[in-house]
Amino acid sequence: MNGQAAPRWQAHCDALYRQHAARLVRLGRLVLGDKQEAEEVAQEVFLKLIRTYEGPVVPIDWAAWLTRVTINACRDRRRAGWWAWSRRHRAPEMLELVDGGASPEQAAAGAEFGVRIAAAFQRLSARQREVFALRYIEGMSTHEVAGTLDLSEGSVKRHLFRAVKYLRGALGEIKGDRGHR
Amino acid sequence: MKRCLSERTMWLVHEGAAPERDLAHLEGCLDCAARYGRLNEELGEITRALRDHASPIGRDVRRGRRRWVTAAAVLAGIGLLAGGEAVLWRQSNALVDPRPETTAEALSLLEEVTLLLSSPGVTAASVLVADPATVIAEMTSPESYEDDPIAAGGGGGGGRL
Ligand SMILES: [Zn+2]
Repeated sequence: MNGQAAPRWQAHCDALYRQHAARLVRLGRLVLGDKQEAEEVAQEVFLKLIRTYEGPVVPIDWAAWLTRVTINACRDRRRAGWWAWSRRHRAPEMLELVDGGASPEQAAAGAEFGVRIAAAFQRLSARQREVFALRYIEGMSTHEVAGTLDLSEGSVKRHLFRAVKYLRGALGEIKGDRGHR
Repeated sequence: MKRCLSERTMWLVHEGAAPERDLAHLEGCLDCAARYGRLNEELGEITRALRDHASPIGRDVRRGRRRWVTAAAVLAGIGLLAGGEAVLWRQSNALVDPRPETTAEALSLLEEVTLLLSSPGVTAASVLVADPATVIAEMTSPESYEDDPIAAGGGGGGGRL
């Protein structure tokens, strides 16, 4: 800036943004089922990062920290009163179709499959969405998921298995519908 | 031969959490092997569909990046006004919130600015920034998020899918 290097905190926070922002938006969107909410959560998380950041060498795992803070921010949103109202008044399928970011081209090319899987995903419980997203989308181990969500591994496995079972059932129905067209 | 694996046991095999005897059954039973193949395949399909569907697309990425760059630049500008980085971000070993009042005020202002930037019709250039030229250059940069942060090691752990 004006011939000066960017401050260290800014460069590091920016690097973290570049590396993690997309996955945090995706995680928020899966957990909340709403693109706009997810983007707001990501911004909130990165502002919190600036708040937390204090020096060039910070002895914590920033990736894990960002994931945990994102999950907590999503929970805070769900707890807020207006969130429940908003969810009641907007069906998840419509949320994803209207706000979902799928361009008309994508939709025409068969994004319906993704929309239907996403809609099925939104019918899982909040906890099931969290464990599934962290385990299979974020690629965490069951142990790491348990640590992030403050759950026992047994509980993570129970939620995960139910989620997998439900989603496989939904996948079967979607494939069945496609086969009958 | 032991009776065929339940759906849950099959999934535990997938998670690497099934006992040895179940793995032995899977190796020797064509039916279970086929069911296991389907489980892998379907979980892969579900995961790919969710990942593709939920990943932000180009214009969303650029919008998010604009907000972030502006917010960071605003904070940098505030830092310069307040006497520089050393004042805002000095090292502290305190366990409680070590930030000086100035930082709290700056962050509060920053949050307001970020909210403002979320509103339609507001451009970053209308906001006080440390170096508007740098911000505008950043805002127009096509590269915003890394392509695949998961592949880049974000989030930790190694999933099977
Ligand atoms: Zn068998």
